[in-house]
Amino acid sequence: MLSSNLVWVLFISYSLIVVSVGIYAWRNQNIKSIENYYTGKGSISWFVLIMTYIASLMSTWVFFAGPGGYYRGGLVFWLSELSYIPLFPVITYFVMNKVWLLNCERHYVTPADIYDDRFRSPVLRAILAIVFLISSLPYVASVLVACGKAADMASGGGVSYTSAILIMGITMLIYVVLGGMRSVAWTDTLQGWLFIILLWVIVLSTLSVGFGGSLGRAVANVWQNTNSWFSYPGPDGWVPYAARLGYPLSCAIGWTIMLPHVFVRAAYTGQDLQTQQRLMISVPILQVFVWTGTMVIGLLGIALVPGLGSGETELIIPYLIQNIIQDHGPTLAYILMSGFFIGALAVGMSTANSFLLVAGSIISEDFLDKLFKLKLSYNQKMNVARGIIIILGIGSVIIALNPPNLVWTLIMFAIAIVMPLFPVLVGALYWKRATAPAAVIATAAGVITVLLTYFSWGIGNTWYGAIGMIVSTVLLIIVSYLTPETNKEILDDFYGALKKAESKFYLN
Amino acid sequence: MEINNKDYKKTEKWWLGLVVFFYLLYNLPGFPPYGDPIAAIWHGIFTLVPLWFVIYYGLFKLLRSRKFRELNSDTLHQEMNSPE
Repeated sequence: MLSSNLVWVLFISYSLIVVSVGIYAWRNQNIKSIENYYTGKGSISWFVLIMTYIASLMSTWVFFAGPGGYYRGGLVFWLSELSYIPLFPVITYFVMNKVWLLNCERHYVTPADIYDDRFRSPVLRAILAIVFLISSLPYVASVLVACGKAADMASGGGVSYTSAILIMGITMLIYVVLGGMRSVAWTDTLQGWLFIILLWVIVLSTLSVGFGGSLGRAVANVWQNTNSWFSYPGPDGWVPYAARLGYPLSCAIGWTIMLPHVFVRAAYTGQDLQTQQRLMISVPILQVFVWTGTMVIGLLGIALVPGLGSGETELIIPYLIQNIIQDHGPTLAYILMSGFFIGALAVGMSTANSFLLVAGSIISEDFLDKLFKLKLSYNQKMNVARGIIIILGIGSVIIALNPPNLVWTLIMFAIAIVMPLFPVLVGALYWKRATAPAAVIATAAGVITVLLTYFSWGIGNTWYGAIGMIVSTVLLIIVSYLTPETNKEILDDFYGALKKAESKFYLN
Repeated sequence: MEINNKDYKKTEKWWLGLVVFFYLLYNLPGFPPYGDPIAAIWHGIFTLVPLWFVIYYGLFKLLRSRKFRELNSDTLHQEMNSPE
């Protein structure tokens, strides 16, 4: 347990550093357009893009539910992660790189822009904007909640949950509002490296204290005492055959591609094709590095303190520090608890700021600009964008101070609810016969199916958004054939732009 | 000089096909049997290692065969806005 003074010092110092980096990034850019503010297009190097992608993707799950998940799901849960992680370059190569090429011609800002460009349907844009907003906004509040709990836990209540949330909210708002994507990306880069390093410091220290640094001894211990950790469906029955397919598929499509904050990074932000290539190559490697660290904590947890309940396993890192490491060396425990606190802040803030920015873009661009046709000058647009982010930030802080159950419900299926939008995107890029009515029906029916999967059929935690995605695919095909073909001029305009970009960027 | 070879399209099809094959192989229902840790480890090795190998091998092959111009989006925008 850390003293409240130390937690305050860490918290304030960390916030000041993050704000300084955010302001530095803002001061060293020339925001030329609203596209530049929201997507950072053309102003973010490959290294920063990779780190902002990773840091945005990984939420407080890495320090809380993740290690608990491996504790209860076992090695096979990690194997199921390894099955979807390498799919990222494949999906990016065939889908997101095409969107990136189109974006060079069309200057998209929100994820719904690409769909609207192909299908020219305000109804589709409205549905997509609502779905993307539902999948992003609750995340901001939930991450604030997790970080508030981390502060409370690390200080033994010395730093109150409320103060922690307020400071985090203010810190984040300052640099997101000022610098948009560029500030977010730079702070993400700092925070991304920080949480990865701290995660591994915790892993190696726990391994050293618990098993003299020998992973083999830890594995042998679990093999001897909790053999089910190594086999399907895992010690708590988490990974049956169906979940082995449904969960990774949801992560491959919903989590790493279709959630709006990562969609923008994978498809709009990269400054050139070389950046896209580096993103494809690096992201799976970094993901494995993080999940392996999280998995080893789960393994060490079950080896050192078996038999914990599910609520306790979610707090396995502070539990190990307080109950195992504290006995061996209070100083090390002190350092690791500080690492846990800062790591949780870093991984949480880097996700929350990305969601906040993309949620702001959806409201200002999809709703106000495109659907309500609010005509504003560039300066007015920037002011509106910043105003909306402030309102959303304050709203998220208020929700986080007293989170309603609805927040957790929305988080629960955020990854799943965006999955039915993926086949529509693929159809938009590859299939000229796909029509706007089909896209609207497929999207709406797919999303409704995901809701039924969770709230009516009760199989959400096995199949996530997979059934909704199948329904969306089938309906896109059937309704497209039943409705008149899309106007040739629209198709020529859209596919012509894609062809033009391809011929500009590729030699063959 | 413009290169007109479209050989990469064939590689793309093989790549995608093999990725789908190994992904389905990993997800074959009934394998490995529940409660068998040795089988779970061998199953992981025989399905996930090839999946990763195929994805990275295919990716690097495609990246080598599909040449691109050293243009970034800003340059492209400048080109588009410049008078013909």
